[in-house]
Amino acid sequence: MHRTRLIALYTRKLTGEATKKELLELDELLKLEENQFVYELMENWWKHQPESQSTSQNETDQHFNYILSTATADEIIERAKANVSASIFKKYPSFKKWALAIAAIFIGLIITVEFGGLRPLLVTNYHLNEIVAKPGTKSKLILPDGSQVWLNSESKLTYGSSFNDSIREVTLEGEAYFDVVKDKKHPFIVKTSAISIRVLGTAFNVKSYHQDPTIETTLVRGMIEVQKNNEPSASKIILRPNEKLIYNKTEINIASHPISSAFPPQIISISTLNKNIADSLRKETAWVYGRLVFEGDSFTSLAEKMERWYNVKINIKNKTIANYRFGGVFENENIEEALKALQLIAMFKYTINENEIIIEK
Amino acid sequence: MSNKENNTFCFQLLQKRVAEGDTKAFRQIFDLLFLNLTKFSFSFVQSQEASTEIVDELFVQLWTKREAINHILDLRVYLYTATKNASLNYIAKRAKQIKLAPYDQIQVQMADYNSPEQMMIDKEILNKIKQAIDQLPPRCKLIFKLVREDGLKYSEVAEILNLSIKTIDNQLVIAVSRIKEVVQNLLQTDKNKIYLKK
Repeated sequence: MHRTRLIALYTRKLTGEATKKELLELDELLKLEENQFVYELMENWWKHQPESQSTSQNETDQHFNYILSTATADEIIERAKANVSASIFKKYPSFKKWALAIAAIFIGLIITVEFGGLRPLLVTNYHLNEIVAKPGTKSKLILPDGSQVWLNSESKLTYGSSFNDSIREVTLEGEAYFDVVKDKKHPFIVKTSAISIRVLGTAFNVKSYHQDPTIETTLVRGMIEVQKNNEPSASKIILRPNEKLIYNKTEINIASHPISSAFPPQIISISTLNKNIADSLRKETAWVYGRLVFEGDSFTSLAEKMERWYNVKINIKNKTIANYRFGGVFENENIEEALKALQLIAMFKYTINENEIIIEK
Repeated sequence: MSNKENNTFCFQLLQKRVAEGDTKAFRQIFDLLFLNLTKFSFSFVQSQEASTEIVDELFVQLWTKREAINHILDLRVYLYTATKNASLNYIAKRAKQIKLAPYDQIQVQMADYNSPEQMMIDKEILNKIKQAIDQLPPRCKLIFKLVREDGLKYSEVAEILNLSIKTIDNQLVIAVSRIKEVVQNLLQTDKNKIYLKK
């Protein structure tokens, strides 16, 4: 009977919950105990605190910083929601031209492997990996970390051999849709000619053709942070799902554009897209699903899209026709069928000369 | 310094600093509690990634709402309880049947203990003790861990797990009794040998 009492008191002593009275009672009971050394040993064992788990200092630092920056990001979003329509950057020097290069052989192999179903190759030796989607084609690839990238026609993706080390960074010229594998310890960054997009979430589209006056990025899922290159101290913008950012690359000459004298040279616009449209129908991401979607595009603008899509050159000779506006979807049509479909809506003639198409009255 | 000593007084000071925006103080709270909280969460959710995410979110909230941190009377109890609730919510979303009260479905991750030489205890005994603790029923094991490793008081554990203090007390007695049995059996096998190195 006193055994149970002994153990109960002893436990309370070990855990530091015993009252003075209880401690005295325990002492008395222990005196009667013949196996005192058992209790001594246990007390000895109990006192030694287990060593804390060894995570590297660096890992802990990184993790803590991750928490702080996520918290700060949340705070910025709340503030940014208050003034979401425009952000202003200072003038910056003109961008470098990207030279189009030929894809490295082993990258071609990776794409073949992806489509051919062979065992994946280990890519280690090369410094720079480039994947090119030639005009009129689309490519899909899987990056070393498992992230998937769909490249639209006439686009190039570049990444270094240190891709998987601390930062997962790729450079994009053209248009690509990213589905990024979540890895909090390694930020995924997409660099374009003027802005960088840091991925905090998963799926988004980036459109950055050097001929275009703007760079666009549309966020489908997750969260991304957009920053201007060359000005890391400038404010960053965080996008939430269904938001689209358009960055104006060109410097608007204030003298020649009287309207723009009211606006500073660089303007970014952020808009919230209708989230009820499926990605396969939304014009920013439909291309991934094999669809060319256009809404109210002028013929000129549509022609540009068709040029990339079909790898043709389109020359619109008549100005009135160039200003026609179209809305629609091309899916499986070839270029002729597409043109014929357009002719149902507007009056024009077209002539196809190998890869060149002439549009006239 | 035992875990019990750096308890309430320490946190109140840190809380005050955090409310003022001191990231170093926040880091200290992080260093003291984060790991234990993830282990606690792990007992319920059984996934490293999930437990880390849960506690991450908790700390993010703690910082974004740092002005309110001073209102928390007992930070550890608050964080453990919040972790428990978030973990149970996580499980609830995934399981059809939820057994909350008994904590019998959980698996507790214990810490590693020191070397026998340091403790002046025979390696064999140490292993037996480890085994005995491992074989404790889940609820008992969880409570034992919270008190001995995380340094929580009976009243705090009771509040976090929504059990009575008597239950906590009983469970610990069970744990200690088992350890004592094991040790006693080993020591009595050979009364002549001296296991305690003086």
